[in-house]
Amino acid sequence: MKKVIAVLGMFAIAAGICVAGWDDVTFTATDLAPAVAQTNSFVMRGRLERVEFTTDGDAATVSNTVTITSGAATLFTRSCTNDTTYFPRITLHNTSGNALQFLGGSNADSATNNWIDAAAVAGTVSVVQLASGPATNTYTVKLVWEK
Amino acid sequence: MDNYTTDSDRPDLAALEVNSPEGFIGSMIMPIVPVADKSGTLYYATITADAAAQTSRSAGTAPTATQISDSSTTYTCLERNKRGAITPDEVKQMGGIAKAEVVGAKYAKRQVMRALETSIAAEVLGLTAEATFDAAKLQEQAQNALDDIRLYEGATALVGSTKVLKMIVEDILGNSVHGPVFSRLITGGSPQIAAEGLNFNAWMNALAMYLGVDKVLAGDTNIWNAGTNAGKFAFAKVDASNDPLSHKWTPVFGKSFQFLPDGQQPWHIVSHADLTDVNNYFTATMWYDTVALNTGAVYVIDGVV
Repeated sequence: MKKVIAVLGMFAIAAGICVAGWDDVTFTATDLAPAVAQTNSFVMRGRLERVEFTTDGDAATVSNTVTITSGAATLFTRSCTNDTTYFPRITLHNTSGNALQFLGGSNADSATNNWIDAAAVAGTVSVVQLASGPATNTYTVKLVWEK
Repeated sequence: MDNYTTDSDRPDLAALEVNSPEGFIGSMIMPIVPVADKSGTLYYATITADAAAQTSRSAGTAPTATQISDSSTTYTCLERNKRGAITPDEVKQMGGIAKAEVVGAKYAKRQVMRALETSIAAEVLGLTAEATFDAAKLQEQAQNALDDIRLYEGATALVGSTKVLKMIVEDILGNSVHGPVFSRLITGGSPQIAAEGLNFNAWMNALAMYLGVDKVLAGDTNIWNAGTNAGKFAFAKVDASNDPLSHKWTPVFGKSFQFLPDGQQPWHIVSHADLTDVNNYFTATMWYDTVALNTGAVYVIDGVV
């Protein structure tokens, strides 16, 4: 009987391992010329938790724009100059489809409330890396999501 | 001059067996067609669309005919060459000129073979991707692909770099629904079988079984996952006929046309010694053109990350 319980326990553990997990992907734009964009697409199933931006440390590195979209929705867009990690959150909607207001009434840096969440995604995500400066740039974008 | 090669054409070196570098799958997808001219016109079979069979016919009237014909295109075999150089002192290290000649010729041949493989990879994975890889729906995507290429002839194959194929396996295993099923396919039912299931062939066989294809072709990652090929794989119909002229009557994906300068074999290898530069040179040359005839026989999926 103990053996049966042990085996069932192992199945339960295995099932737990399968269900929960984290995944990540890194896209590198190498020597991206000004105003040139590099686009990568892949399927994400989970919640986008973190976006890590890493430059190559080049002094000529200037503002590069990262835009992450899923379907028609923008999950994250930001011009980045330094190595930075972001935790993008989206606004939720009520049952009528109206966007719930941030406390303080706007998507302000100081706003704190419960009506935001990590974006749930089950579909193709597009990651566009755009170099907007006068020099070529090399930089990476790492996405981390919970499955 | 023991450590210098001879100045001449070297059919003996040209005939050398160069072990196909691991993962060179191009000639299985676009088989070689030897040609006597560097360029020319070729005729090839295409798919004639399915049409409803006639359900009634008046006596004395002819059945409705659908005309079937070949298409034509051209090929131009361009020169690709690579030269390997070995200094006389290295010749000594290698055990003499006879052995150094083999080393030099094999190196030169391999580089030209890589060029051919790169060209075929571009013909296959360079096609517009028709879907974005989704491990949770790979069965559905695979069937969409197989349905799409069903009218073309040959064996069905899953084509991709070794790395991308392993990433696919990784993503399937990480899926909560399909992971346990796929895991079972690889490891079998006992610890003994599980140990055997760890080799790469078992993984490829599992992929073939899981996706319902005849074979899995794992290509050199440095070529099949390089540049714009990165993160891509394809379902393809590959010519299984072994007939160089099969494209004339069966709709196949494409062929690699190789010019045979001597009518015997495609390689032209020349060795020569340079006493001024103090070097031995081995130059391998091949003329070829890869021509995609029926691009519909390949279904590309991208977005493997």
